[in-house]
Amino acid sequence: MPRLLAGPFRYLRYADSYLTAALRYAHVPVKQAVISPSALSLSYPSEGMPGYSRESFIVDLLNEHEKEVRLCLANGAYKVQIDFTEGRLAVKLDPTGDLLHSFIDLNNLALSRFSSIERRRIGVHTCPGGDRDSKHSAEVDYAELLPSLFELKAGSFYIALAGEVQPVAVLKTIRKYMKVDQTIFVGVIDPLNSRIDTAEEVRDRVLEASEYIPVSQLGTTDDCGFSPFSDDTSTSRETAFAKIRARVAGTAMASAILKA
Amino acid sequence: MTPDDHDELLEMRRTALQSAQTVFLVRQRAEKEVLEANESLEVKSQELFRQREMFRVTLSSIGDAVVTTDTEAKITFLNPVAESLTGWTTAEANRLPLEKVFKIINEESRQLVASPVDTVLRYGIIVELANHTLLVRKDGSELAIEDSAAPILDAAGKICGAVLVFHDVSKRRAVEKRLSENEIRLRFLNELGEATRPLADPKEVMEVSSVSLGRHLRASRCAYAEVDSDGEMFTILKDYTDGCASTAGKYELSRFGGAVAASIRAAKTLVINDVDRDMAADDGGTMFNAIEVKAIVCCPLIKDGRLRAMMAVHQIVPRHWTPNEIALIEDVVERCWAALERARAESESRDRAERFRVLSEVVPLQVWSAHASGELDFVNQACSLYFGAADDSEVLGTGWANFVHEEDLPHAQGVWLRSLSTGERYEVEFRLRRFDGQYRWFLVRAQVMRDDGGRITKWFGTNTDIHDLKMAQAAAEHASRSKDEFLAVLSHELRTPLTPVLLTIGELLGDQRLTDDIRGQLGVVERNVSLEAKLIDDLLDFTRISNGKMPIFPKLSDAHSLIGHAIEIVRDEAQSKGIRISQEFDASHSGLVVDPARFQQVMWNLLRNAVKFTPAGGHVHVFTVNRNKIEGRCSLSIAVQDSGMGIEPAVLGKIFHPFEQAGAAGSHRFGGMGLGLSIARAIVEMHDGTLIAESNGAGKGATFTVHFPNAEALTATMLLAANASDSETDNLQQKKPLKVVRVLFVEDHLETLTILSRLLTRIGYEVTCAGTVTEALAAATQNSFDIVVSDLGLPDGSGNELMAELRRHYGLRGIALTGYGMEADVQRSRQAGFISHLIKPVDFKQLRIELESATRETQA
Repeated sequence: MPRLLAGPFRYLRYADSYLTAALRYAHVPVKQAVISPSALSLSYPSEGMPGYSRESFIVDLLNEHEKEVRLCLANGAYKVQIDFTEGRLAVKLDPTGDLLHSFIDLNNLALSRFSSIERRRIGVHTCPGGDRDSKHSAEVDYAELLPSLFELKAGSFYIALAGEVQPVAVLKTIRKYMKVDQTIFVGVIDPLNSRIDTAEEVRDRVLEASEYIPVSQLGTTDDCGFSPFSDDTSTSRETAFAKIRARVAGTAMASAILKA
Repeated sequence: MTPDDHDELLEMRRTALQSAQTVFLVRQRAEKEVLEANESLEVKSQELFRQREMFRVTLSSIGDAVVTTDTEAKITFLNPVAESLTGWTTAEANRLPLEKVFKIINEESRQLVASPVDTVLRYGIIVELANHTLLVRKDGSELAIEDSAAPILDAAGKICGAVLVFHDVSKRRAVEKRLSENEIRLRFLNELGEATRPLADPKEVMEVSSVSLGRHLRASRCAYAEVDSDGEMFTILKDYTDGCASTAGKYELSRFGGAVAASIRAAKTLVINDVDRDMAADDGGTMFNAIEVKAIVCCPLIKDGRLRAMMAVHQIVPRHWTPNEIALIEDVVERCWAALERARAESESRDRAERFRVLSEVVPLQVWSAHASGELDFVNQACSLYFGAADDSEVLGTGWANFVHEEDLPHAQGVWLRSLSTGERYEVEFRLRRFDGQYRWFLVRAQVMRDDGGRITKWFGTNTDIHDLKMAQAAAEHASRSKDEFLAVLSHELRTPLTPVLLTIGELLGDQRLTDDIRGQLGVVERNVSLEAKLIDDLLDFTRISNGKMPIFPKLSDAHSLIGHAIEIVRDEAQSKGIRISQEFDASHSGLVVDPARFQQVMWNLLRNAVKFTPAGGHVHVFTVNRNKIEGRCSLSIAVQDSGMGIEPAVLGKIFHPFEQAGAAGSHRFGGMGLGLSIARAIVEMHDGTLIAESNGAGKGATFTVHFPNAEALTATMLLAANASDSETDNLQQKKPLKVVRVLFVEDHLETLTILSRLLTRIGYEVTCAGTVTEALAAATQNSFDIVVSDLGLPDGSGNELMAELRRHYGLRGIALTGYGMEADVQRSRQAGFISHLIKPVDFKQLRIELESATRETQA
């Protein structure tokens, strides 16, 4: 985890620059991912910084995050997804839940800066981690995360599910805590699994999810990203695209079934 | 997990937990801010709600219709006026597209007009609707409106809707329409007036009126007809036609049908929109069809209860005549009649003016006329020739003033201006300069001419040459003045020598040493001198009366007492002739308002006359009687009756003429100038009385009766007051000066000076004599005097000048003693400072009274 050496805290690059590049090639709506404030809050040294208080850092952090999201929304992002991978990790680090609640509070502070209409275009992603094909908190039960996760003031939730050992249990938990104005995008592709999922598998996962989540609030996603910065080449480009195609096709298949 | 990973996780955990506290604090603060923001929001929401409510109420209250829309031009609000005008309720219209509720069309083209809100929402500008816009209401009816629309901007200046404001202008539009129609009508009438005003020929007036009206109404035919005095026949001299034949000619009104004739005669305008539809063939329809008329308006003109004229407008096709058109035709017929009357009146006026001009040229006077303002607008040839002006314009206007003598101009102009303002007749004499530069006197008269309303419209004047008459009059007046002056000098010169004679005789008669025989002879001298004085007095009185300058000082007097005094004066003379005088005063009302001295003079004249013409042994009887007693007042008649020689009837009418006597002309048997009776009658008449003479003929005596119309009864107190002056006079005669009075006596007639100074000294006055002004002034510087008695005609100056000087330097009072007895002489001596004016020959008794009166006032 990088450490902040000097204040004030500012982003060197905002995500909308990637969005702008992506939009030049995209022929479908683009969802832009940004890092969560809670993740970045971990960069402030535990021992503090002379002349730059933690509180000042938190305020700067929120300002920078808000600026980044607004830039993305303004520049054409269909959705902005806040990667909240550390949520599940927070439960692991602090089984009391205080840390998780602290993360939820911090992210809600950021989300509160947006209107309800804007928040409909903002989502939160959670997964057990996937960098370099490893999970940092797969052992943490979703049941400990999701009740708090759904307290976040976001319109969409992107929840890794394909890689879960007991997806049904997770779906049950989702059904229990999700709210009517929240759309749940369930993970139907596990990026860490090199096997290319079939469309039928995806279809079946969607159909399974639809048994617990109202179809009008149901969407599909990949469990996690395919390392778009090419900092992790454990999954090849071809595999990634094949898996994505399977998600799209499987989802379409499920959608056809569900509409019928 | 490697140890490093474990440490990293621990570090992350530590950092996260430390951050958690900070996040908690930040969250708390954020929540607090949110809370405060919410509270603020709540307040602002309430304020916003209040403002919105106020806005809504305001919009509902205003007189204009207000509609608001959102950015999609969908209605969000209608105020009550908008609901009323559109016919839509807010509930019905809410969220409906504006064009559905606010449907507008162009009044003239009937095409739909785009809502101004579209433009407002598109361009964010304020838009006003074009004129002549009609709102199509929900029920399909239409309403003339005027409106505007403006964008509604949010706090950031972004358009969030539009507001449309409009109001009903139907009434205003109707008024404007009427005004427009009226303006067109008035403009036409004005143009018609302008076109007919200069026309002098009535026929031209009719033609121009018909043509103008026909064209204006786009009629097929238009005709003005004059109706004969029988009210049946009418004549169209010339008409306007467009696409049809002329109807000029003479017609019988009844041929157009009984209904039409009745309507016209009843002063009702005939309006037929379709002859075939509205008229029966046998009731005018056939006749109108014969002259190709399918629609007609015929307006009759009734004056003085008689049908005088008609204005007919025809159309060869059916036509709906509008009320405005009918009213216009009625107006035109009235104006046409007025124009004709004016043309006829002007024609008559021109005739009259010409007659006046011709007349003015034949009369032997200068004749002129002027506007009401006073400026001359005409002079006849006699005027032009007299003034010799190159052009009449030199005399016209106010040019005449340049020919008036500069001394006469202010008066002439002043009276002229007064006449102009009051309308009073102008009559002034002044001099006008003739062509050769000579000024001649004219009597200039002018008489005003007024219109029916009494307003001055004109002045007509004449200048009558009175120069020769004026000159003759001036010469006569000059001669008269010369005569008066001559008489004054004459009386002075005649009187002056008499004074010392009478004074000397008076003194001698008091001398007991003289024998009776000498006394008798002195008496003869005294009577004859007195007679001469009396003759001079009569002559002066006659002159005064002739000039109307005899002063009278009326006061309530007792006639009986004054008659008694007169009788006493003549009693000695009567007794000497053996004539008995009796009196019979029966009048109970003897009070008269008369000048006592003059009244006494009348009675003395009559008595003396009676004594004169009554032979020895005769009788003179004086009696008084009241007549016509009414309410305490009555007339008083005083008769002097004698048994004398009587008067021949032929002479009776002339005895009051001056220089006439009852006897044969030129005989002068009785002496005198025959002025006494003439003077007596003049004095009586000055007191509003009459004096008549009656006689039964020669040798049968005569009666002279004085009659005064107003006499009153006198009480004892009034009697006392009436006789006071006489009593006072008597008392004064007995009084002696309280102390020695110093008199400066100035007289150039030595005898008079000597005798009078001696007489005054004898009765106690201290007299200093002076014969000239110089001597008198010298004496005044050396001595003090109480009073000055002075002649007026002195060798080295005037007594008046002397008196003024003595009065100025020494405060002296004075008595004039002079032969100048004319009224002007008395006035001048009074102005110089004399308090009394005694006329020679001096009655010493009178002088003494005046002296005592004056010195008593001085001593007091």
